[in-house]
Amino acid sequence: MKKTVIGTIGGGALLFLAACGGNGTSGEGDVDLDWLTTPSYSPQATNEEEADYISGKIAEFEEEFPDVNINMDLQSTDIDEAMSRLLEQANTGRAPDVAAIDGFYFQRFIDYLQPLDELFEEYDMDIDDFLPFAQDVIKGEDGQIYGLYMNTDTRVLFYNTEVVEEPPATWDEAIELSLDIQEDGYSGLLFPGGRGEGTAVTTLWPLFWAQGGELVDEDGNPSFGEGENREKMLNVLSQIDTAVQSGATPQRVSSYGGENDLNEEIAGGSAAMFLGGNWQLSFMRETLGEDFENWDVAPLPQIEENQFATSAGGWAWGIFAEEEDKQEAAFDLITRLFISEQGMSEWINVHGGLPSRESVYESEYFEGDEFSDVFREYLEDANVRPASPRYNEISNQMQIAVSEVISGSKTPEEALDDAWSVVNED
Amino acid sequence: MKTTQAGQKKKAGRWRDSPLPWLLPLGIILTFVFLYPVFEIVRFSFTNASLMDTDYEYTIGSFLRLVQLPGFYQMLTVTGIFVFASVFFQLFFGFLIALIIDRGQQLKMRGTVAVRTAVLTAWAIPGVIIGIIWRIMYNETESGIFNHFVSLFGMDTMPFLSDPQMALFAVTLANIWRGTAFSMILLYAGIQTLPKDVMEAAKIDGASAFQRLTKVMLPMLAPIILINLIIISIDTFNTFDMVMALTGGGPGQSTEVIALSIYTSIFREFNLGHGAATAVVLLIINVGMTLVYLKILGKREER
Amino acid sequence: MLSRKQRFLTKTGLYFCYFVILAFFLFPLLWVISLSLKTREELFATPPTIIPETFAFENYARVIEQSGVLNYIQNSFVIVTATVIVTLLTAIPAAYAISRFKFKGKSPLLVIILMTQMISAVVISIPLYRLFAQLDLINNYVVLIIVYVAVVLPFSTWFLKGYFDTIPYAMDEAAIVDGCSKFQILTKILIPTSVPGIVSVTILVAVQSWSQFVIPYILLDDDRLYPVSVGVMNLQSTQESVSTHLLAAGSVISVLPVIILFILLQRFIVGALTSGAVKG
Repeated sequence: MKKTVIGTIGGGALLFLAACGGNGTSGEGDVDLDWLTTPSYSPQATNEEEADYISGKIAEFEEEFPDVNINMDLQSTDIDEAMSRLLEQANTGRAPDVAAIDGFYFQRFIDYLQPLDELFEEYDMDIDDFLPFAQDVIKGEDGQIYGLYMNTDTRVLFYNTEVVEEPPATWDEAIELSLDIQEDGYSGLLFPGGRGEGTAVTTLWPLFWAQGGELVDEDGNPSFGEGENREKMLNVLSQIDTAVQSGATPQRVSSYGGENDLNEEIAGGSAAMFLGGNWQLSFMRETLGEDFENWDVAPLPQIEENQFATSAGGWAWGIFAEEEDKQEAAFDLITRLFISEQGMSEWINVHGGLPSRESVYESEYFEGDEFSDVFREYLEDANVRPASPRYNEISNQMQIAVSEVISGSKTPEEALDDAWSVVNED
Repeated sequence: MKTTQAGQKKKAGRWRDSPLPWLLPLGIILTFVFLYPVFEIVRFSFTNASLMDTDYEYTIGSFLRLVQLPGFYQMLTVTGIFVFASVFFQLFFGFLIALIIDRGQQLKMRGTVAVRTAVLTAWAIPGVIIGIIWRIMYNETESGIFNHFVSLFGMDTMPFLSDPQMALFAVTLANIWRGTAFSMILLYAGIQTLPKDVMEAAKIDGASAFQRLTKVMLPMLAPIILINLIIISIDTFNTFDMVMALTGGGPGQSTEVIALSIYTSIFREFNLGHGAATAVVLLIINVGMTLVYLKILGKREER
Repeated sequence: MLSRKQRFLTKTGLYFCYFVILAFFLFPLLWVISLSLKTREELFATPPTIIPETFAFENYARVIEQSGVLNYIQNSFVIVTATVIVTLLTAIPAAYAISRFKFKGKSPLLVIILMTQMISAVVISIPLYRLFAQLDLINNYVVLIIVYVAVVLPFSTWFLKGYFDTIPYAMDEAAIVDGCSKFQILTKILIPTSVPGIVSVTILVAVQSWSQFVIPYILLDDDRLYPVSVGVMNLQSTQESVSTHLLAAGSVISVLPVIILFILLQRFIVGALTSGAVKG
C-alpha cells in the first residue's frame, strides 16, 4: 500500500536530517532545537497570561538546558494550510524537530515521527492516564506512543437559563423552544453552518455519529453516502433544514464557518442557545459580565432522545528529530509546557481548554471551573475525526452541502448526493 | 568602449547587433518561472496526485470528473458573473469618475485631488485586507454597519453573506470598490491626451454633451478602453485572495470563483490532480483571453 | 463659455458627485478606523456607534506589541523594493531590444511574453512550491523575488517597449553618428527621455507586488518572512478570542504606510501614470 512508499521516503528524510544534524552554526556541544508551534501556543499568544506563561516556562527550560537553543517557528493559523505544509516538509525531509499537530491529522504523521515509549517511562507518564480518544490518536498501529496530547476541547449546547429553562435534548425540542423565545426578541438555535471545519465538527458529525454513522470505512474510504450511512446523513441535513425552514435558526448561520463566528452574536446579547466549543466559555465570561452567571451547558441536542455524541479536538505534539539529545530536549520542553501534571494544569488555567489526562482533573495545580467535570464526562465518550487522508475532502464537501441546504439553494437530498458524487470516485 | 582592432570590432559588432544579451535575463526568468510550472501543472492534471502522498498514476480521470462534478458549471457561471459584473462596473464607474474629475479640474474645483486620492487608495490595499474589511461591514446582525443602514430605512436585516445570490453580489461589489481605481486612472490619463481642439470643434458645431461623449470622446478612447478591459478581465479571472477572506467561497459554492476553487482543491482537499485540472481550465481561459488581446492589438497596429 | 448660473449648477452637481465618490471609497476605511478604536464591548453595540465612545488607542499598542505587523510591513518594503529594481534591470534592456532591434522571431516573442502575462499566479505557485521544497528554497527571498519579478515582467516590458516606440528613431541615429554604443543610446537617450514611463512602471510594479498574495502565501512558510498581504491573515481571529477591533487595528497599520505614500506622492503618481499610460 501507500504506507510503504511513505515509509521509505520518511526514512530517506530522516537520513537526510541526520546527515545535516551536525553542522549547526552554534558553538560545540550546542543543540539547535527547531520548535514549530501555532501562534496561540507561543510567547506571541494574543492573550497576555498565556504569553507570559510560555515565556516563563521557556526561561526555566533554558536554565536547565543551557546548551539548547530554541528556534521557534510559527505555523499559519489556517490549520489545513499549516498541516499540509508540515506534511510536505516531512515528505521532503525538512520537518522541524518538534511540532504541534492537529489531533485529527496526527495519524498521518506517524510514519515520520519518533516513538516516545522510553521517554514516557523516563518521565514517569502512563499512557492509560490519557482519555480514551487521546490514546487512539497518539498510539501507532504498532502499539508504540508517538505523541504528546495536550489540552483538548469538546462541543456542547450552551444555553441561557434565564430564557431556556430546560435544555432541549432533541432538535425538535430545540426548534419548538426557538420559536417561543424568538417572540421575546432572542435568536433561536445558533450553530456554525457555513464553510469551515467548525461546521463539520460541531454541527454535522455529532448528529451523524450519534446515530451510529461512519464517515469512512475500514480502509479510510468515504462511506457516508451509501446504504444506512446515507440515511443517517440525510437525517442530519433534513433536521438542519427543518430548523432553518421553520424559522428557528436564522439563515445567516450559513456564513459562519467556525464556532467563534458566533461570538459576536453572543456578545450582542441576543443569543439564547447555541452549539459551540467549550473554550467559548472564557470569551463569554470576559464579555458577558454578570449575565454569564445565567449560562449553563448541556449535551448537544440530537435527532432522537437518548442519543449522545460529541467531538473532541485538540492538538498533539510529535517529535521528528532523530538525535537523542534533541528528542530529550523536545520532550522535556513540551512536557514542561503542556503535558506534565503541573504543566497541563497551569497551562489550562491560563489558556482554558480541557485536560486530556484523567489525573489532571484531580490535580492540586488544576483550578478548573464549574464546568470542568461536566466536560470531562462528555469527553469520556467523545469521538475524534477519522484519520483518513480523504477526510478533508469529505469535510469540505459536507460543509458545502450543509451551507447549501441552509441558504436554500439545494434540498438535503440534492446536497448530499452532490457531495457524495464529488467524494466517491469510480 | 571603442575597439580599435578590426577583428575585435567585427566580433563585438556581431554581439552588438544581436538582441540576445538584452533579452537574456528576461528569457531566463520567464522560462524558469513559467515554463516548468505550466508543464508540471498540465502533467499533474493528468494524474490522481494528492498533496499528502508522493505516488500517483496517470489518468484523464481528473478531467472527466471535473466536467461531471455538480459544482463545475456553477463554478464557471459564478466566475462568469463575477468577472463580467466586476469588469463592467469597474470600467463604467472608472470612466464616470475620470470624467467627473477631469471636469472638476477644468473648473478648478477644490477637493479634486482628495477625490482622486481616495479612489486610488482602494487600489493600494491588499486583497486580503479588503476581504476582511468588507466581511466586517457585511455582518448580518444589527451591529453590522450595512445592516444598520438598512434598518434605518425600516427594512429587515439583509443576508449579505448567507444568501447565495446576495453573497455573489456582496463579493462583486467589494471587487468593484477595489478595482475601479485602475480603470479610473487609465481612462483619466486617456482623457488628458485627447486633443482639445477636436472637442472644442464639436462643441462649436453644436454637438450636445452626450453627443460629444459618444461620437467624439469614446471613439478616440476606444483603444485605451479595450486594453483596460482586457487587463481588468484577466486580473478578475485570477482573483481569489479577496473572495477567500470575504466568504471563503460560500455559502455552498455560490462565490467559489475558479481561482479559489483551484486553491481549495489543492490546499483544502489536498487533491492535486483535480486542482491541476481546474488550473488547466483557467489556463485555457487565460490563453483564450490572450488571443483576443492579440487580435485587438493586431488590429490597432494595422491602423 | 458657460453662463454664471450654468457654472454654478455644474459645480454643485460635481460637488455632489464628489461627495458620493468620497463616501463610497472612504467609508470602508473610516469604518475600520472607527472599529480599531473601539473597546471589545463597544464592538457589539446595537445600533453600532460610528464614532467610538472611548478612543481605545491601546488596541494599536497591543497589535504592534503582540503581532508581527511592523515586521510584515518591513518585509513588504524589502520585497517590493527588490522586485522593482530587478524588474527595471530586466525589463528596460528587453524592451529596448524589442523596440530597437530587428530580429527573427520578434512577433512570436511578443506573443509569448503576453501569454505569460495572462497566467494566474495560483497556477504557477503550486509546482514552484514543490520544486522549491525539493531544492530547499522555500523561505528564500531571492527566488521569491524572482517569481514576483516574473509576474510583473511581461507587463512591464510591454509597457516600456510601447514607451520606447514613441521616441523617434532619429534620436538614435543622431547618437550613432556621434559614436554612441547601443548601451550608451539606451542610458543617455532612451532612459532619460522615458523617465515618466519608467516611473509609471515602478508605481504599477510596486502596487502589484505590494498586493501580491498567492506567491508569498505558498512559497513562504516562516511567518517572520511574511509580507503584509499574508501576515494579516494571521491576525484574523484565532480560536480563543474575538479580535475584530485588533484585526481592524492591524489592517489600519498595514495599509497606513502606503496610504501616506500615496497622499504624499499622489500628484507625482498621477502625473507619471497619465503621461506614461497613454503611450502603451
